[in-house]
Amino acid sequence: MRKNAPAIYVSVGLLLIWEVFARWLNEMYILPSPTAILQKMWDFREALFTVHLPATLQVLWIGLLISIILGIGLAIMMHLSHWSERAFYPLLVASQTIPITALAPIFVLWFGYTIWSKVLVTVLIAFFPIAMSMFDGLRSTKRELEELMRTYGATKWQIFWKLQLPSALPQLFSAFKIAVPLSIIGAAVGEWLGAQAGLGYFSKRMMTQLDGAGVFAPIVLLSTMAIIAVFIIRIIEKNISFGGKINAFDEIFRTM
Amino acid sequence: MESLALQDVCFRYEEQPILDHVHFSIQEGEFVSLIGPSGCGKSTIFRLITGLSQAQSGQVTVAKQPVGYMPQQDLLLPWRTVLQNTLLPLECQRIPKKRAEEQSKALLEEFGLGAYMHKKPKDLSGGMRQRVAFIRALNASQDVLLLDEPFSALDALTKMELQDWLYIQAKKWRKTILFITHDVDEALYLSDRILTVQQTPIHTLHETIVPMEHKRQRSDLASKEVQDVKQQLIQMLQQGRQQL
Repeated sequence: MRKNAPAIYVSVGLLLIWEVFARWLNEMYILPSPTAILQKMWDFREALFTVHLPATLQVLWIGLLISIILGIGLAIMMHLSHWSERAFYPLLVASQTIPITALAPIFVLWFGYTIWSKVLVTVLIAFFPIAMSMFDGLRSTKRELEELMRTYGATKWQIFWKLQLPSALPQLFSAFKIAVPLSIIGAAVGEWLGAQAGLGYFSKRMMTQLDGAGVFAPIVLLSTMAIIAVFIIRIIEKNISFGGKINAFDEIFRTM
Repeated sequence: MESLALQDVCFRYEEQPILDHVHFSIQEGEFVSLIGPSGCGKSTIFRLITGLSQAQSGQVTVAKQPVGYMPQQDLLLPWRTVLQNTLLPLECQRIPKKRAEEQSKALLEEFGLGAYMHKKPKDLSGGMRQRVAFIRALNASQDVLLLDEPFSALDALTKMELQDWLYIQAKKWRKTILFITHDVDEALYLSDRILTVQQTPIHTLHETIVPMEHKRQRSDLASKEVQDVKQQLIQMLQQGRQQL
């Protein structure tokens, strides 16, 4: 707590300045004060927390699950098979340059207002950093370590499970910390275009009604979600990789 | 019985000749030290024996696999505990977990690392990490050991303890050991024979038989015979260094 004290003071200070300035400006549809936003969140609490937040969460967890499985899967496949690497790696790199959110209208065209148009945007955003980081992480093991394991008579499979996979974990977690907030953006953008519920959809509706606090409210929720998600990832990371209290992965890797 | 042999081996690394028709053999149960200037190719010989590098010509014979290789850097896996690191070669050989752990724990206790068993390498000093790497190499093979400066990071007392331990174990279990070191006293104290690199690329290795009994003591190092041999070796090393 002590360590965070300065940050807390600055944050509170900024909020106070915002509050005072917004009231002075008195144009709530452009710059609502923090208290007005909180009031709006309270007024709409039922809609926000029972309808829209769950809708966005559903898009996110399905999208992220698919991204993680596909991303890690593709990375492992490219790592184990040279042909796969030569086939998919250039595509992977090229795809990073495509503005993903600009593709969102295509998905609405294809999948309409179903959840899949938004999930696809999320997957497209989150899948690539996960695949890239995992692949780079798997490749990045020191040659000397691989050689040492060969002198122990380790099979290619043993080297993969005991050396390459554990050493790819830090990069994988870094990718998660990037991919999760990005996918929240993806879900919101998808919702702007083709949704009937969700926090992104809600903020767009409030925008059309020139309700400043109404636009900010779901944004506050989205940002809080991103912060909590990264926080959870860091806790999992600390406890799993490079061994914390839960050595679950270590045990699995070692028995392979 | 021959345990290791290099016959007429040539090895080049990126057009640079390292080994030039090198020829030597190690008998089973022998303790042989390999000394010479830094960077002359001693570690390369180890790599050829373990099969990590291929000689361009000549033959490398290893009678019994696996060979326990201890490289110069400790190369401990940072995400594993000390105990788990020592178990690595045993896991690769699919030795049952319980037996592997008993074996490793006994060695860790013996070398004063019992309290650090569940710590990570980053919590250990350089000397401790080297001991862990040494135990790991012992686990890799019971019979043949290639040790590349295994005690270089240790303080004098720990070094002596481990040297004594290694010598007793080697003689008791008839281990074949090829040992790289820069410490001439260490080479004399531990070895039956000392092979000295005289030039680069390595061609002939000068062989010195160590004039000490099997049951030797450190005080024997002070004898005139041994001191003469030591002077010869140091002179050879100095000449070799000038060449580089």
